[in-house]
Amino acid sequence: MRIVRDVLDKKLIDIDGCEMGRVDGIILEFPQGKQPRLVTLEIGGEVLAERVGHWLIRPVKWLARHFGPRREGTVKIDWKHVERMGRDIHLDIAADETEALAWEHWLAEKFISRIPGGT
Amino acid sequence: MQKKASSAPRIFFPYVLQGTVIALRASHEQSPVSMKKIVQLALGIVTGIGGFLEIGSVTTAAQAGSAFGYQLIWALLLGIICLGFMLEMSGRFAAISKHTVVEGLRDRFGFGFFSIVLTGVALVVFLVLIAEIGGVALSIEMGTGVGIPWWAIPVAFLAWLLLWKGNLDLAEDLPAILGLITIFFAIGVHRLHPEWTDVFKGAVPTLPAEDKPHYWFLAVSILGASVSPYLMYFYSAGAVEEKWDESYLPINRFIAGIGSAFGGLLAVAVLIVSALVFHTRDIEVETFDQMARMMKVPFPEWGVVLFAFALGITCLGAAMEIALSISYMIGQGLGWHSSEEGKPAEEARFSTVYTVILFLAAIPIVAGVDPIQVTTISMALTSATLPLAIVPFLILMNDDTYCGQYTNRIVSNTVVVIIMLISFLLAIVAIPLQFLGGG
Repeated sequence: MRIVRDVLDKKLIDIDGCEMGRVDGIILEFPQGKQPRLVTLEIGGEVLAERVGHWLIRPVKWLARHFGPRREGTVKIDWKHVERMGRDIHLDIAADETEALAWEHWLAEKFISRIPGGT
Repeated sequence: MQKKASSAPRIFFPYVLQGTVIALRASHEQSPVSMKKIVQLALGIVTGIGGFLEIGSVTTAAQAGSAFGYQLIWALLLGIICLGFMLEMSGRFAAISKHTVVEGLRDRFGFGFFSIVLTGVALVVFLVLIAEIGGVALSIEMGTGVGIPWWAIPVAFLAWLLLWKGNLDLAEDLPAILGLITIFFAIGVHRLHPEWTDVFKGAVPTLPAEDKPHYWFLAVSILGASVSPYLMYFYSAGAVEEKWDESYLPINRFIAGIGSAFGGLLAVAVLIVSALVFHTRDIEVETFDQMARMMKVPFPEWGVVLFAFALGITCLGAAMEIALSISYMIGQGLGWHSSEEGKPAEEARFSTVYTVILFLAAIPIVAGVDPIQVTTISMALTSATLPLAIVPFLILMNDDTYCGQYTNRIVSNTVVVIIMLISFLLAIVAIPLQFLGGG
């Protein structure tokens, strides 16, 4: 497996077949004297901002702190939840066990469902 | 029920697909193809014009006809060919990889590069959306006499409402049936009896005697109006939604070819009418009123009304298609889910994007921006930014991890690269010339 080619940017599918975002970042662990290990997948605008450029990190963090669902930092998913990999990455947890859909729920609740015909 | 990433915006091309697929399946099973299915197929193909015959193509074709007669028909033909190839590719990509083109771009190139392509394409397409909303507003102005700015918000609201109500049948059928009206451009050509040998001569590029910068600028705008990248994103999203597989490849080729040829030839018809009405009288079209009045020649009583109606419907269709396309670009790029039958609240982020985009695009028109000017600028910019959308797309199409044994053959690659280079080179030369030369 090649981490960047096969994992990074791939779509994450939860146990119910629901799309829950893409792998925006990965966290590796370098234990002493052992092989490096992929431990966590990350989803979230802050990680994406880091990948685009440093100038973008602060505005994105500021926006995330002041608007929307204000979730705590990025969504982190333990590698052990990866069930199988292909073009997409399938997980053995439900999206709602994580905060991956925080924005989705927040927008649905605050705005979309309040407009006639939204629900 | 499983939720899918790319719920079908089955409004235009995907509608073509539906109709054709149904018709072909029916004949395959040797059951009689019912009249209804034939009508559906016809409607579907006509709907292909949603991507072709909208404010961009109508404006540029009418301008070209009035200024240079048939001389720029070649540019439209190049546009038709290029669009046909690109649609075929995006359908094939979706059928084999089971992913949309946008998903492939994020997957294959990573977020950094993807964000550059996304930003570039989305900004230009957003300008086109402004132009389409302006086009609908213009057509209502022609009918009512009430100024364009007043109509921008109601138009954006109407487009939004059609998407919001989530009744895809309504959103598909309404523009499809009403869009049939555009055939009157072809009937107009027939009534004016053009000299066909002259028309065919226009298929070969020749240099005009004077005003070369304007000639090249119009060629660029025509290409930009024909080959809009959002069409491939839209088409592939529809194909994924319809769960295409290998068996759809022949149908895909058929639809991509017929769809773009049909819309493109109607644009040629606009050019021919304009050439016959204006070029012969040495008038150069500048306003929409003029373009509408040209239809008075073949249709003395109904020409202007028909023109306004055709323009309004096709622009409305294109506006809905673009608003959805931008939502798909962002949503698929970030891995959001949205379900086909879903209510807006079940795809909240997705519906938020098209809602915001539609109303943002109405603002410049409310502020009094001239739709024709936005059209001219956005079409030329589309041409100039084509490589940004096409080069990564071609890399995907040649990657067998996505397309398996169905990667591009040399013909598709060559044709698209050549047309892309022509439009890009023309754009970087002609755009500065046009604006430096005082337009």
